[in-house]
Amino acid sequence: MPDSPVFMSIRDLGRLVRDREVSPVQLAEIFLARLENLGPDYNAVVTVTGERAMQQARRCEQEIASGRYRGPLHGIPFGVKDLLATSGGIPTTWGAAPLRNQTFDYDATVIRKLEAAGAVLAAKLAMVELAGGAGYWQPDASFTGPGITPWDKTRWSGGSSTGSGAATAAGLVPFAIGSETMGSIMSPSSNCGVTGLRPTYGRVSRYGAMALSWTLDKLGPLCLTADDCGLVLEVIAGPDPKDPTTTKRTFSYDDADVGSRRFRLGVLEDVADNTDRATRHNFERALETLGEVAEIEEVSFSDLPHEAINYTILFAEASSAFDEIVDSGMLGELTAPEDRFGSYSRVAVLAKDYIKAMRLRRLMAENADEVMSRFDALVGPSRAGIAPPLHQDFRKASRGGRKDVMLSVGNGAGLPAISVPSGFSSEGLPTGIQFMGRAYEENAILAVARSYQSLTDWHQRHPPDLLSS
Amino acid sequence: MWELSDSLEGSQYSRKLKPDISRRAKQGKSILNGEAIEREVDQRLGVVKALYGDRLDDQQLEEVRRAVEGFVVASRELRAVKLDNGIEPFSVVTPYREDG
Repeated sequence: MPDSPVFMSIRDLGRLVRDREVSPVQLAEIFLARLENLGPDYNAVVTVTGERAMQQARRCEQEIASGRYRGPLHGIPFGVKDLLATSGGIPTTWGAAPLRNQTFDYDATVIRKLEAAGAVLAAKLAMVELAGGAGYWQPDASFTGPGITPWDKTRWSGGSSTGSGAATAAGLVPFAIGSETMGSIMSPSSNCGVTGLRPTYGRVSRYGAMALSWTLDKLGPLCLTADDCGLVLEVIAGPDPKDPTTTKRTFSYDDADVGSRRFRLGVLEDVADNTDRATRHNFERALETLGEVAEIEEVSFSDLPHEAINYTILFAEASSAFDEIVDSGMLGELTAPEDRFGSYSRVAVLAKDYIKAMRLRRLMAENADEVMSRFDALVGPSRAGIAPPLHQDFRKASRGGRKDVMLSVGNGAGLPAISVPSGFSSEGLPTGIQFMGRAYEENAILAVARSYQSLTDWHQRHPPDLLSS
Repeated sequence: MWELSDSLEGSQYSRKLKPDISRRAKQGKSILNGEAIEREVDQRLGVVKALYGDRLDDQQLEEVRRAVEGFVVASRELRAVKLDNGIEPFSVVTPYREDG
C-alpha cells in the first residue's frame, strides 16, 4: 500500500485496487475517518454513510479477490450532494433544516449506477438549501453552515454543490457528484481548486434528484483531474426510462493520449472583463499555455437577452417545483433569512414570459451550436472572482454589471463544460478556467482539459495543511 | 444547482439599467421609471400579496417588490425581441405509451 491514497486520482487508485495493493475496505476506512474528522472543518458533510460503505467495500473486496474486477471505480469511495435520494433510512435533506429527516425508499439512478460499477457511497454532502432555489444572497444558507473552501477557512466553497467541492478538495473523498442548474458545479470547482464536469443536459439521469428547474438541471462529477471526470461520466451517463429527458446517445470515454493533438479554441470577446485581478491574470496566462496546443480565435454569440431568458425559465420552473414547500410555510424554517421569503415573488413571473423565454432559448441554442461547431471548446474564466469571504453579500459584490454569457448560454443551451484549476491568487486561493463544448461533445472538452492539465500542475496542488492530515 | 451571484432578482438587474435608475436603486428607491411599468410592478406584486401577503412583513415585501421589478425588466428584454409565429418553444412533447 502506498503512503497515502489521499489526493490520488481515481485512475491511480483504481490500479492499486485492481492490483490488490490496496483493498476497498482499507480505502473505505481511510476516507470514512477523514469525512468524520475533517468534514466538520469545512461544513462539507451532512451524513457519513459508514455502515453502507463498509458493507459495499467488503463486497468489493470479495469480488476482487475472486477475480471479478468491475473497472476503475471498483472499490473507490465517493460522496453525493444531498439532493440525491438514498434508500435504507439515510436522510436526503436538500440542505434544508425543515427536511433534515426526509427519507426515500429508493436510490437515485446515479447512485445505483455508481454502486453497480463498484464505487462505494461514503457520504451525503452538504449543499446550499434547496440548491439555492430560494434565492440566497450569502454563503450561510444551509443548515450545515456555510460551505468552506479547504484553501482558507474564512472563504466560501462556492455553491450550491458546496460539500461536493470542499470534500473533493480536502481529500475526504476521491470524487463527488454535484448538480448544476446555473453554475453550481463550475462555482465550487473553481473556489475549491478541483476539476468539475457539467455534462450535456440529458446526458445523466436525474431520477431521484431534487428538481429545481426541470429544463436546466444537470448532474456531474467533481474530481481531482479531467481524466477522472471522464471515468465517472462513462459510468453515470446513459438513457434512463425513469428520466424521460435522458438522451439515447451513448457516451464512451475516449481517454486516448492527447500527446501531439492540436485543438481549436474560441474565446468570447470581453469574457474576462470585470473579473478580479487574479482570475484575469491566470486566465491570460492559461491562454498563453493553451497557445502551445491550440489555435485560439475570438468569437461572439448573437445579441440575445441571455440572462433574462435563463432566469425567467429558472424562476418560473422553481416556482412550480417548490410549490408545495412554499405553500406549506416551510420556508420560514430555512437558514438564510432571505430564503424565508425569496420564493414568494416567483408567482409574479408571467406564463407568456416563460413561453417567450423558451422560444428565445431555441434561437440561443441554434446560435450557440453554429458558433461552437467550429471549435473543440470555448475557453473562459470559470467564475468572475476568487472565493469570497464567508460574510460576503453577493449583491454587493458587483462586477460592474458583468454578464456571464458562458454561464447563461452554456446552461440555457444545455452544453457541457469542465472547470479546471488555473492558478492561485496572491492570497493563495484557487482560480479556474472552463472549457465549454458543443452538445454531446464531452470527449472534446475532456481532451482539451487533459491537454491543459498535462502542461500545468495546478490540479496537483492541494491545501498544504491537509497534505499531512 | 444554482449559484445566485448574478441573479435576475433585485440589484443585479438594476446594474444593467441606465445610470440614473441604478442610482435610484442604491438609494433604495424603485429601479424603474414610467407609470406603465410601475403599474405593472404593482399589479404583479398584487398577486404576491394576494397569495402570500400575510406571511410577509414590510421589509420582506420591499425585497419582493425589487424582485418583481427585476421580472418586469426581464419581460421588457424578452418582449423586445420579435419572433416569427412559427418559432416554437425549446421543448419537445413526446406522446406517451407505457410500452415505448
